[in-house]
Amino acid sequence: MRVFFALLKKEFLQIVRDPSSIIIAFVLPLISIVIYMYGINLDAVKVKVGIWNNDATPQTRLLTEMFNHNAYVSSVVYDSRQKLREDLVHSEINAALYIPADFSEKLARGEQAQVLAVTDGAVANVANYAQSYISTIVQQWLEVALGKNNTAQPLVTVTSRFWYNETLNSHHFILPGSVAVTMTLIGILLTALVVAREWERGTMEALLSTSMRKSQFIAAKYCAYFLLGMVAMFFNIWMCVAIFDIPFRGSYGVLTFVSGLFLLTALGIGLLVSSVLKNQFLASQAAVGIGFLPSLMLSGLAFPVASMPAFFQGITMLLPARHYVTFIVSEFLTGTVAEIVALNALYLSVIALLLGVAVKRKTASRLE
Amino acid sequence: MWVRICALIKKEFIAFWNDPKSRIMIVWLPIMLLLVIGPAITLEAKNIKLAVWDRAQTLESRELVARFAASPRFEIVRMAESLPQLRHWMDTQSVQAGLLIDNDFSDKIKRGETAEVLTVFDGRQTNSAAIMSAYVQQIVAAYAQELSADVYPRVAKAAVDVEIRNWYNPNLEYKWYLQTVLIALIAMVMTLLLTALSVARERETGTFDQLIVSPLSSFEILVGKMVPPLLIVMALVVVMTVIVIWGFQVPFVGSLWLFVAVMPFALLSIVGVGLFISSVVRTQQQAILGVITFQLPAALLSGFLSPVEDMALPFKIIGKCNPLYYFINLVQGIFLKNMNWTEALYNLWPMMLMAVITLSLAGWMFNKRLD
Amino acid sequence: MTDCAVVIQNLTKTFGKVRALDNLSLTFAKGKITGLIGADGAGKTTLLRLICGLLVPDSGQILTLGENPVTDKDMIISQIGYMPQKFGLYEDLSVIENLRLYADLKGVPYQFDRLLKFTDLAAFQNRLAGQLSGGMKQKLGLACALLGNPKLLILDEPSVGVDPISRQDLQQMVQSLIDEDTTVIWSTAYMDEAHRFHHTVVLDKGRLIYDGVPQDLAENTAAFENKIIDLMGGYQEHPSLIAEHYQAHLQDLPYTVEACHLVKRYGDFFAVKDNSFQIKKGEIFGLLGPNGAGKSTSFKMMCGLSRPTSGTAKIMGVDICQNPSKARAHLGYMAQKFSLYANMSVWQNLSFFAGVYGVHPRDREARLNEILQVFGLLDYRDAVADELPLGIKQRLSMAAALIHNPAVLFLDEPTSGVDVITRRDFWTHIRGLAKKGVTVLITTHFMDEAEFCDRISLFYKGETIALGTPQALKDKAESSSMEEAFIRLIKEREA
Repeated sequence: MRVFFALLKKEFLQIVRDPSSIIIAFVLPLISIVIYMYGINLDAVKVKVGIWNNDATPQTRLLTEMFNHNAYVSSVVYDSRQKLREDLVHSEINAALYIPADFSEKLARGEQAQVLAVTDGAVANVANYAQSYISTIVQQWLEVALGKNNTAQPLVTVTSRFWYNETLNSHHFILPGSVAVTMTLIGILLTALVVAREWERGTMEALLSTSMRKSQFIAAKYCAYFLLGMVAMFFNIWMCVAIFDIPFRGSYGVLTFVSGLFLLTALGIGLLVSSVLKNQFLASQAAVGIGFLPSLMLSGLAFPVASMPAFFQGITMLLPARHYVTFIVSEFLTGTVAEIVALNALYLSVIALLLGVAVKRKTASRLE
Repeated sequence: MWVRICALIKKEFIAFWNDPKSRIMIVWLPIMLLLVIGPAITLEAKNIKLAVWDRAQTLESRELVARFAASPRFEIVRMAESLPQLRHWMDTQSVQAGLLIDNDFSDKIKRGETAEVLTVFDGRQTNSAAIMSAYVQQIVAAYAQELSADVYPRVAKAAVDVEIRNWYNPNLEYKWYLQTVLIALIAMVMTLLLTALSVARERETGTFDQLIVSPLSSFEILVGKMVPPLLIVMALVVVMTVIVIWGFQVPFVGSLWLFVAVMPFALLSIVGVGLFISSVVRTQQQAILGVITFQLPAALLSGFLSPVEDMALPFKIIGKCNPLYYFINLVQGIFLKNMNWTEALYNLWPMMLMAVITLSLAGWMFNKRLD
Repeated sequence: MTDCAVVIQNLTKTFGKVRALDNLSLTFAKGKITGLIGADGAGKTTLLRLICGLLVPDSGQILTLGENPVTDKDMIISQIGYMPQKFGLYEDLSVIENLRLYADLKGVPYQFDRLLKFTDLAAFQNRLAGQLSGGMKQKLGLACALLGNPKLLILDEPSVGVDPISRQDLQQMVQSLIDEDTTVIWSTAYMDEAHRFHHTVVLDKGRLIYDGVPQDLAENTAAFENKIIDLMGGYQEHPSLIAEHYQAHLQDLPYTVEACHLVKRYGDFFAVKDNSFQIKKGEIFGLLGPNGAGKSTSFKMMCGLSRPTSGTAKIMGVDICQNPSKARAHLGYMAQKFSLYANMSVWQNLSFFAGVYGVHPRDREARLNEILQVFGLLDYRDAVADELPLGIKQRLSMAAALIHNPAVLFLDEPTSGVDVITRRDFWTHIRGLAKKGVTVLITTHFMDEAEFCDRISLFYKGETIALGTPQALKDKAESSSMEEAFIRLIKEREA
């Protein structure tokens, strides 16, 4: 035990004296959270619509105005069809609406009038929203302009309700979820270079010549960076709850427990990369490669896992970030749901265990 | 001067290529990333697990349910019998959405009144909930249209038909957009890794001193360090483009020449960032830190997750100064929109400006850091 | 055999294609200090690591303190003190923290007073190990190895790259701190050290070439060295092919290398106070001094690796700060530990340096072939630099430095780690080149090499305290050897 504590003390001293560890643990999450909070907005998308009105009547002008009344739409009326097209191509606007000359006439006769909406499909999700908004606004206008009795009422309408996140505030989802991405990066980065450095600087050799055992060495690394990681994690979560007012409906105990499991997996990946590659140059490349893009893209944070093809859903099962995102979002917004906690905790434990075994195997107890 | 620079460029290539582990990192890592992430990502919602609580159990209600069953987007997995049951399923994420039909559904319709159905969604899946809601709207609206037209014809009243045309991407294949974005993202990651670490590594092994003592000027060192990563990532971009076109079936409607001509200049801006990081740090660990500190905001604020135009002012400014923003515009524009030369230049000049700034700073820092 | 601390029988160890140890059999007597000599790559470090159980032999047997060090490591590890080549110190930890760490790892109590006294580190207890000078680091490394009064002390080149005073201190330290029955295996490149020990083991290319009492072989260090060379196959003095092929420059400057009032300041600290010297064409000029005295800083300013706070450094009359490219074109540089591109081949390395120093692609192949032949590197043309034996690495480094026929050569500890024969050979070449007019500036810790210099500048605390021929310095210090002179002159200053 004396050996273990001595190693632990050494790790702490090294962490405290190396500013880069502090930066990784605290500055990175700070930057990320600020970006996620204020920079990105995954709420209902805003759309810019360009309108070419070939039927200049007070009614159609009302229609064009109503586009501006919608919080998610801003519109501009164009005089030139050419310019409208150009701007659509340049992505200055997301959709174009063409109102033909016989629009009001047809409506006055009680017939169906037509408009053409062209969307910028290259940015596909925006196009979807644009479609939806245009249809809704046109219908609303119809009721206002001609009166409810004179317009065809749909026989069936649907109201949508979003449980756990009534206002569908994307921050309530993104911020807790981002803890997964940030912690994956931190966990891997902190440890990836650490073992490689001991090899490159020659201290590994000295340690191996003492009565230190492999398991003590590994345990000390895990513990020290686990503590640092947990502090960073709490800092992250505290920012979400206290500063950005994300509602937390679950139990802090459960959160701590599962977060701990997740951190173990991230540390495990870093230690494994470091022990196998023994070389800072390669270890850092591997760490960034494995840690950054996959956890951002495949964890369910940016893109829904359920929509991925089955094979790839299978691949995401290997990604600890994925299980953690599911858990933490649920814990924040729903509160503790036994099945979700148990299932994801199980996955995380299995991954952590496998990684731990791999790390033990790959850590040398001799110089070759 | 050119003799010296060429010697340095050749040496850089050999250094990257000779070590098998390095080769794996340069070639396989980006390909793996593309192959694993590319087919997986989508902003669409698919395979939506739906639970139905149909209290009406009439012809019309079952018709509506059938519409959902027929839709490729939804998968009816459970029939609920009570609200708490539905709630529990939603809590445990066994279902993602619920359709609730009241008992007076058909009555209202027969009376010509508007019948309302309620759908509930798992708000935890914020990124797909809104889209799921939009799909539901579409299905219900289509059903409502049918009812009006065929089953219960009524007095002809004014209506507006909105004809929708989606340019460039008629079937709204989200993948096309995202996969072109992925090329840009992976190119950025690889460029940064190759450039930022190179000088730090030479410093740590001691070979950087040899370079300083030689007749190479900082400008020459800069050029020598710049060209190999540029060429390697160019090659990588070409390979990734081929994979995306043939493997993922993304159409390439733009000009190939334009693409090939524009890429090196676009990449230059990121090379500049990487070399700048390299010139400022002393150790490889610091270099990696620099890479991540740049990469994370650059990716998040590049516009692919949420448009730069809609961001708050300080972030909008950062977004507009972000080379990745323009890079994505270029790649996506040429691929999917047949961007022409003028438009390309419009996106290119900010990147060139950044390249000039970062490379000059890097050169200046090389000089300064002689101690 | 019970009075043998280590018994080795038919030990063989191979790394890939290289046979590090070849059927070795020897013993290390208990209670004696045995010096282990041999060039880098001769197998010294491998042998020491095998004795500690850090490597596993391919065949043969080792018994360390009576046990198998690999399988029964736990039984003996607490009785072994090991100081590896890089000292094993944690740079981010202070002196006292390093000591406590190793005490904990070895399970011994915190009794550091004696060690701190002998290492002279008591005043620096809380200084971070990374901020210690080279000599101090070595003493600390030794102190950590000595914790727990080990029965077997294994030191892997503890005095490499350190000045004679620190070396003397280290020897005294070991003598005072061990018990009578402590066995010491001390690997070294310094002949004079080895000559003083009770016993000597000489390895060459993995084979044992001498195992006996050094005094039996020769009376003094110089003769000892000669005898070792004979045992290794002998060395034929020959004219230097390299010097013959060198094309002299027709420059006629009064001084080829000049330092004018060079000052280097870091905040309030003056690393170099006010250094001036002039070197003539064909002179071999040595920079000597303890670590941290400012000689490396001066050297770096002269070759453009560091910018002087004030003062000028001129190469062939060109100020290296004002006109770096031009000045550097006249300069050939051999870095310490030969920083070459490790995973490129000899040819690729040379091709790179040729290009960078302006050899036109047209002429390149011819020139490279010439260089390979002249430097004896033909057999190694496509070998990867990292896998070369150290002597060949040195030659490669020299080839890279001379590829453009520079008028000036800067050598930074060019012979560290090479075997005695390579060192002799190296000096043959250097002297040949100097005769042909090459100006040589060299830093070294080998006092016998200092004797080869035409003039020496002895540094202490940023200043030159003695400048002149080796004989002049010896006279000034009233000593018969360079080593003594060094120690005396420095000690005088310290007082």
